[in-house]
Amino acid sequence: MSLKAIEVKELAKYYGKQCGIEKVSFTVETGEIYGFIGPNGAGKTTTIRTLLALLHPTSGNASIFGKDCIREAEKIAGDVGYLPTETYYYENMTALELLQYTADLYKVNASDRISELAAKFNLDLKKKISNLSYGNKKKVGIIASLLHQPKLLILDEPTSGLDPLVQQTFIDILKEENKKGMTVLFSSHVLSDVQKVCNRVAILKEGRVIDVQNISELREKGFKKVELNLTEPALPGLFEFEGIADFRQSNNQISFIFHGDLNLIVEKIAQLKLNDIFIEEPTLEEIFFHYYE
Amino acid sequence: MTIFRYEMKQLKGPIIIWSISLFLVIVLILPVYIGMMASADTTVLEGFGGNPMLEAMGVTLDVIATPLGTYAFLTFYVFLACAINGMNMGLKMITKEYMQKTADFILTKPHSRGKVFISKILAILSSTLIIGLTYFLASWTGMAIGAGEDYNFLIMAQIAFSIVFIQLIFAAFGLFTGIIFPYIRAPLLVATAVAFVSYVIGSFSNKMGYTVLTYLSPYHYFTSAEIIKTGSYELRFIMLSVLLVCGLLGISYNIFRKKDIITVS
Repeated sequence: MSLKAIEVKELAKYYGKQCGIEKVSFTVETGEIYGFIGPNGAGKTTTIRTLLALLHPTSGNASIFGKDCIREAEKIAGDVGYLPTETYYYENMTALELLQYTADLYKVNASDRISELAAKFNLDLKKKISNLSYGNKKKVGIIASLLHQPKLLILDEPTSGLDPLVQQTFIDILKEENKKGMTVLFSSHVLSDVQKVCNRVAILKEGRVIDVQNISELREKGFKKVELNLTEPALPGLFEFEGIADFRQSNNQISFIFHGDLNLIVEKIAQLKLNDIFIEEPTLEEIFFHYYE
Repeated sequence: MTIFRYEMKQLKGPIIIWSISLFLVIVLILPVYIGMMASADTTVLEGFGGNPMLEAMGVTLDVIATPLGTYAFLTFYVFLACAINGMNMGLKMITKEYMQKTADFILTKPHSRGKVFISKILAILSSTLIIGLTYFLASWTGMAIGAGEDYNFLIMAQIAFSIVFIQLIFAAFGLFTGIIFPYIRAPLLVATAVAFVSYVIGSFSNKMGYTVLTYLSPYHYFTSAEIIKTGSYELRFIMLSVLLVCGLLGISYNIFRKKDIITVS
């Protein structure tokens, strides 16, 4: 049996009486790219910070490569790279000094790796951190999280602040490292990013994991975005049944997302006089809304 | 060692500035004061009679007229500066990680929180020792210029190294305060306020005879007059200092190891 990269069981974190996460459970297999999606405040960052022992859980437990996240945090940290949402570093250091310090902290000689990654991201290593733009600080963060070739990379909103070209470079590097065996936990609310790289995704809502799905299944499982252009108004209540989400009607235009038995929806549509019909695969964002009704 | 080396690099500037400043101040001023006091008539000495510093130090006029008394008088001002430096150093050691939001960076590396904390303490200890040693060398030079060999070297050395204790006590208090209130924006201001409040409490207790309050003012743990009189530190205050520093650091260590880091939104 292969060792789970991450195993979270009934993890809860309360800030006083305020709930951060409540009974979060999920498992990340070694070698997969696991998505973590949910709106702001869903508990993604709280879960990640608990995995990294920056927060102590109120109850439940979490392990990384079989080691307890709190008790064995120091041992775990050597195998983990972490990119926070916002990257803050010692402002008086140059990018190179910061990265060398990071390498020293991991006890690795990463000069070649730093140069290689800096070239890929077109980052000037001689600049002081205080003089770097938000995007360039993020690049420093990405390099810092990858330079010791971690077995697990934890990314919290990694693409924010990066221009599309750099985002693509980053995603290419992720896929390349993943092929070499690196596991990735990819937290984002930019669902198209998750869609591009992840194998599976956990969906968080109000501090709980409400579903875990394969990305392909999530998109192929019968979620359809339907837009109807009618010649005469539809009968009221025709589309009021389970599986319909994001229903909108304006004059003779109807649109909704459907999840369920397709024959049922075809049967309903057959009762209408149509001018035009569009049935397409909804984006992950739209599927996401379906969960958050 | 990596974190310790980094912290020492950060402290390099302040250590150099403090060492040079204290060296120059004591080497330039001490011989002048010793010469002035030695040749002063009774009227001049009586002018010192109302000086609150003397009252705070518990130094009498006959003591201040001696080279060691003069040195002790000047060192008391250095105590104040060192208290501010110690408190500021301890506070900043913690608050900088929160204010710069770098706690995430350092605490997600393969070094336990305990190791991070101990590295920071060692950096503070090294800094205070370097400054203390510089002050001792400066004092030795200043005394040699001003008093020749006409003084007790051991007493001078003890008075000089008192600043290490003062810095350490205030640094430990600074670390503790920083861990409880990690978002202090102006550590130097807080450090100055604490150093002065502690000084005022000490002076007040001395003047009013409230000996219990003296324990709240670490300056009085190393009263130069007492060192000159007995030839050594007061054992109870040395023990209290060690207890205070170890206690504050022990509590801080435990809180730091278990504290949630809520810095990045």
